[in-house]
Amino acid sequence: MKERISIQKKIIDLEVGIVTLFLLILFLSLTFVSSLTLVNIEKKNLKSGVERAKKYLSVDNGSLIVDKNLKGSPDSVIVVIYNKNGEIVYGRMPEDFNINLFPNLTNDIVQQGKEKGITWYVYDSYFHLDNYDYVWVRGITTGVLLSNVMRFLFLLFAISLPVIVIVISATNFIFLRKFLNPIIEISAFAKSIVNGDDLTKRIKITDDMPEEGESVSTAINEMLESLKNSFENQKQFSANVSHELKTPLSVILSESEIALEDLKSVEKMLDSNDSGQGELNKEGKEIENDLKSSILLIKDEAVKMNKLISQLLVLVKSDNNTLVLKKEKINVSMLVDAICDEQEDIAHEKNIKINKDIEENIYMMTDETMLVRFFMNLISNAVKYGKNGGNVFVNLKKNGNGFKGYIKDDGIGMSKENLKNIWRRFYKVNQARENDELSFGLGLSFVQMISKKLGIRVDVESKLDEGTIFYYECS
Amino acid sequence: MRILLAEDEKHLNENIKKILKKNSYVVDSFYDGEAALDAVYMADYDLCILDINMPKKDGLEVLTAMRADKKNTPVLLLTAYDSVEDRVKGLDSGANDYLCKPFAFEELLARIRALTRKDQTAGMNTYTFEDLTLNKDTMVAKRENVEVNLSTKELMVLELFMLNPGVVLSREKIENHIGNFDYDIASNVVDVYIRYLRKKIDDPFKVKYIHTIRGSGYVLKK
Repeated sequence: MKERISIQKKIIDLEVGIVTLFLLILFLSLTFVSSLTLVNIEKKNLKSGVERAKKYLSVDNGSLIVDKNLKGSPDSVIVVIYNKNGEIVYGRMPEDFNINLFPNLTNDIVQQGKEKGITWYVYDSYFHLDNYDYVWVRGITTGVLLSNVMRFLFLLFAISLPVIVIVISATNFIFLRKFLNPIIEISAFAKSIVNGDDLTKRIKITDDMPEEGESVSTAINEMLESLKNSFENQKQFSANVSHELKTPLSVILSESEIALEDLKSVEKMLDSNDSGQGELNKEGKEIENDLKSSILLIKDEAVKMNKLISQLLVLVKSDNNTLVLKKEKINVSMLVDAICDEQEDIAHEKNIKINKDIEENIYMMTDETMLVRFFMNLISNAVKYGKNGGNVFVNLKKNGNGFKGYIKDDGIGMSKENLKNIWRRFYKVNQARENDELSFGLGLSFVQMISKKLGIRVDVESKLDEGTIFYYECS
Repeated sequence: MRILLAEDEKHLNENIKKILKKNSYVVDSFYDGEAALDAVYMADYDLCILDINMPKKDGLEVLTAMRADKKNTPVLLLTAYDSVEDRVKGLDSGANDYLCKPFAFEELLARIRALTRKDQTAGMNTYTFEDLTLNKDTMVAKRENVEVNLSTKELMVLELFMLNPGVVLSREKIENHIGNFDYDIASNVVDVYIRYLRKKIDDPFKVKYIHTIRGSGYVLKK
């Protein structure tokens, strides 16, 4: 499943994104504007440096004198002086300066060149020195100012951005948490209702709840109300079915019991009346016996029907989630062992050997009645569909906090067609064969229902005439 | 022994009455809750059998009114509902026992005997059989003074045995006792519970208490 992103994170991300973008634009425009103006300042500075250098030049006896102070000029402008033939008469090129970038001396134009990340500005001035000749004064400067400012701006940006992001995230986290807290509480409360199975609880709408919180709470409360109503209706339905079907059944059962009691009196009367009308008495006894077996049949069928109704009601309750589980600490090993022992007699009749491989002392919090039914149905099925003289294997092992294992038989097995349908209610693989037994074809439906309720994974494999194996796993 | 019976299903009412009379109980029968409640004040009954679903006043209302008036006559509730909640609700309202329809008369008579006998042993909350004890209130079973860990169903089976020491209990009877408020279970599930119970209270000890009577059922004896 895709990981969900919280609203809080989304809002913080959005804000951080906006601020970052804003700062980036600010930085870029600042850089752009400052570079424009700084280049101009740099050029001006260069020009004035050259002009000032001219003042340090003098002529003595026809030779060029350069004032020593020129070197110590505070300007970052390096001055080189050429004679009119372009030969250097004073000064040295700075290191890293590539003369090939500026091959020509050009009067009164600031030239610009870039190498190894350093921008060089060159300004040449050609002028006539009194009592001398024409000379070239070349001023060289790097974009120190510009790069310094740029570096400063970049540094400012690099430091301020994370700081701002952290500050925004932290404040947002604190405040959003506070703002969103009602929503978080609502969801926690809703969860507690689901887990606690108490549908009568409602979310309390308080005065300090924000608008969104109120609307969410109201919606959840309304949903709970309708959920409760439908749940009640479902329960009412099961109760009504139970009542309407079981009341007549209890009348049938009580009538048959009364009738059987009455028959006993009739029997006594016939017995005490044994002397005399032998033929009549014999006939009376025959009728009495017929009546007795009829009533017993009615009674048995009523009992069977009662069981069917009860089982169906459990399935209905499970379907509409009104089935209440009663969980307690159960020794699963002992339970499975007891079920195997119980099946031993029936297995013995078919010469089937039940091979137990049960790890001891597996405990689990679970519903005992359900678990008994689960294993009972699987193991009795294995015996029922096992072949004469065959084997049933019951395997149970610890699986973390749960258990796992398999129930296997080497009996008649099932075709693929039948295997598909075994979980269906009232499905019987062999209709005729099972009709005489107290079986409704609900056994595996129960296994399936219980496996869902108790969280047991069940897999089945089967081959016709080779046997069936049910794997189960519960953690 | 005088019994009040309130059951609105006419045939069932008559049949229960007939069986009770046959077992030498004096029975006053009613078809609605209101009449039954009036009758409670007219005579001294040893037991009230109340159906839950009745016209005018239902069984729970009659029961609640009785208990509110400090009428402590034992009450056995009859119901055709089979949910655990209904059972709990009934017992919480002050019922002494609870029987689900349909029931066998044998079971009804057994409950009546237990309820009227309980009166004599009122105040006694522990069943004892040899070195085996079962506390009704705490539902704790002990053998040789060591607590035996039993599930709810096993405790119910044990309670039935302790109530009827030396009496052979049929599978159906045990089934009725433990199963009928959940859903009726195939009778062999009872065998599972018995075996399970045996593993816990008999297997670790030399003397066995639960014995199988082939073809009839089980019995608690030394």
